[in-house]
Amino acid sequence: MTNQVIEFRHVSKQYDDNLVLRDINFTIEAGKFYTLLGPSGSGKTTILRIIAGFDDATSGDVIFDGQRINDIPANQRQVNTVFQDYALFPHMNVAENVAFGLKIKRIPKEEIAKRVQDALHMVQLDGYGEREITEMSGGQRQRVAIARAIVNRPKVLLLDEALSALDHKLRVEMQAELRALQRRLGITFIFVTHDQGEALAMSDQIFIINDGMIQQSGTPVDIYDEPLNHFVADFIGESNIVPGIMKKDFLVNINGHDFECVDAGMKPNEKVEAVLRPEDLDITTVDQGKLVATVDTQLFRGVDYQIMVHDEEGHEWKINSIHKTKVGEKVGITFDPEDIHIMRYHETEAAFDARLDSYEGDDEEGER
Amino acid sequence: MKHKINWGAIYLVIVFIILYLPILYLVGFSFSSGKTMEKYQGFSWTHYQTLFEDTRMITIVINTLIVALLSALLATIIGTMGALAIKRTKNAMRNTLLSFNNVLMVSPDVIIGASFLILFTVIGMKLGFWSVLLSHIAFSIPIVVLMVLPKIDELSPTLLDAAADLGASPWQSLTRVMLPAIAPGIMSGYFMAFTYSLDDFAVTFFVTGNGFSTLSVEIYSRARQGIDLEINALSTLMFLVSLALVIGYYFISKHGGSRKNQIVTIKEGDVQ
Repeated sequence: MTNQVIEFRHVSKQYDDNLVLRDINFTIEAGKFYTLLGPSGSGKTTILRIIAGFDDATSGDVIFDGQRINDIPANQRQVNTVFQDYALFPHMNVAENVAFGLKIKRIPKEEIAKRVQDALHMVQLDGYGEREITEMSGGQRQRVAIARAIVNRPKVLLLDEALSALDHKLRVEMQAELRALQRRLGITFIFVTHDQGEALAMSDQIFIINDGMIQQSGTPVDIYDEPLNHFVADFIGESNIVPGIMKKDFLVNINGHDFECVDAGMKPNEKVEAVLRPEDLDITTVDQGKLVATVDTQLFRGVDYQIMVHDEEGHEWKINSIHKTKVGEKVGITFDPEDIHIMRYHETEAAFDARLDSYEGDDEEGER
Repeated sequence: MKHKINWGAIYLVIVFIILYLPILYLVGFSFSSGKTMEKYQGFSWTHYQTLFEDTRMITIVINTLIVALLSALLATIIGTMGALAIKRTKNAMRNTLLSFNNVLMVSPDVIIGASFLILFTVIGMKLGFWSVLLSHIAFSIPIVVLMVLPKIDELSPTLLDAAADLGASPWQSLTRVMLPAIAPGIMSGYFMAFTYSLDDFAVTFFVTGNGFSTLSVEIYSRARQGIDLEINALSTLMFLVSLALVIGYYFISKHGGSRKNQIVTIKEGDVQ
C-alpha cells in the first residue's frame, strides 16, 4: 500500500519491570480518522507518545512515511499533538500560542500572520488572537490547542484524550466538529480516548487496546456488531454476554435452550460466549417469547428504558426498549438469529477473520 | 445585635505596634536636632546632612548595593539552573538534593560565616569584596531554589512536550517556554536574594577584611562606639527603601500570579 503513513512493527515498551506494550503491530493509512480506544492504563497513550517521539519504544520499529523514525527526536517529526490538558503556553496570548511552531521554523512574519488567522478561523475563533489564555473557556482552549497543532500542517495529528476535560454537551459538539475538520483538512487523525461513544461516533477505524495489546481493530460497525472477545463486547456498548455451547453450525445452546444463529466454523459442542445487545432484545407476550422472564427494574433514560429482567432459570438480561413495561410483570423476550453474536474463547483476530470468510464468502453484512 | 469584640484583630494590632514601635522611634529621632536619643529636640535635617557628607558611609552604601545586586543576580542564575536540574531528578535523588538545600536555609548564619572564613583562610583567599560576594551568592542560592522550584512544579509536565512537538529544540523549549513561564518565581527569587544580601550581618561580619565593609557591619561597629543619630538617618532611608522593595515585590508577584494561573485550570467534565 502506498498511502500508509505510520507503521508499528513488533513495538514493545517496558517501564522498569512493567511491560506496557506487547508486540504492537499496525498500519495507519493517510487521511483517515483512527481511534485508539481502551481503559486507562491500557497503553493507548503510550502508543501516541511513541508516535510523537516523547517516549522511545523498547524494541520494534516505528515507520513514518517509509522511514524508521525511532531515533528522530520529537521536534523533528512531522506530527503534532493536542494534549489532554491542552498544554497551552501561559505567558503567550492565543495568537502567539498558535504561531509558536511557525516562529520556531522561521517562517516569514506575513505568512505566519496569515496562517494563524486561517487556523483560528478553522476552529471558529476568529478575532480571539489577542486574548490571554486565562480569558478563554475550556472549550475555547481546546480549540486553541487544535489550531496550534494544525497550523503546522502536520501529516498526522495526534489527539490525547482531547475532549475528556469538556462537559458532555460541549464534547458532543466538538466530536462533530473534529470529524468535520478532519475531512476538510484531509490529514490523518489519531485520537486516543477511553470513551467508546466518542470512538464509535468519530472514527473510520478503531483499535481496541487493553493490557498493552491490540484486542481488535476495525470499523466502528464491525467492532460493535462482531466483537472478538469478552473484553471488546463488554467495553463497547452495552451487552448481555452469556456462556453457551455451539451444537453445530448455526445452532447455539444457551442456558439449555437451542437458538438459531448466524455463526459457524466452530467445533461441534465447543464452549463459546454469546453476545446479545440489549437493544436487539424485544419484549413481547409470554407465548410469543423465546424466553419467559419477570421484570425486575425499569429505568427511564430519555431515549429509552433500561429494563432488567430474570428468566425462568434465574439468569439476568438487560433490555433497552422504547416501550415501557411494568415491574413484576411476566413478559416474553424475543430476538432474531442475527442478533446473537458468537465469540470463541482465545480466538485471535486473524483466525476470527479467516473463520468469518470461510462461511460468509464475500457478502458484507455490516448494517445495523 | 451587639457587636462582638474582635480579639484576634486587637491582638494583631498590638503585635504590629510592638514590632514597629522601635523602628518608628528610631525614625522619629533621625529628625531630632539633638545629639542623642535621650530627648527629642525639635525637627531638623542635620543628621541627613552629615550622612550625605560622610563619604566613607556613602562608599559603603554603594558597596553594599553592588554586592547585593551582583550576588542576587548570580545566585538567581545558579539557583534557577539548580531548580531545573532538581526537577529532572527522580524521587530519592530529589529529596536528597532538597534536603541539602534546606539544611543551608536553616543552618545559623554564624556557622555559615565561620565556615566560609575557614574556607577562605585555608585556600589563602584575601578577605574583601570577593569573599563577601562569594559567600552572599552561596547563601542566596538555596533561597532562589526554594522560590523557583514550586513554579516549575506547578507547570504542566506536557508543556515541554508541547514545545518539542511544535518543533522547538531543547534550548528553544527552555528559553521560549520554560523560563518565561517561571519568570514570576525567578523574580521573587531575585528579590529575596537581594534583600537577604542587603541585610546580612553575621556571614558578612566573618568574611569582610580590613578594607571592605557593608552597611550592617559598619552600622554595628559605629553603634558600639555610642549611638550617633547619623545612623538613625541611614536606618530611616534603608527602612524606606525596603518598604519600597516590598511594595514593588508585591505588585510584581500579583501581576505574575494573574498570568500563571492560566495553566492548570481545566474544567473537570463528567468522565464517561
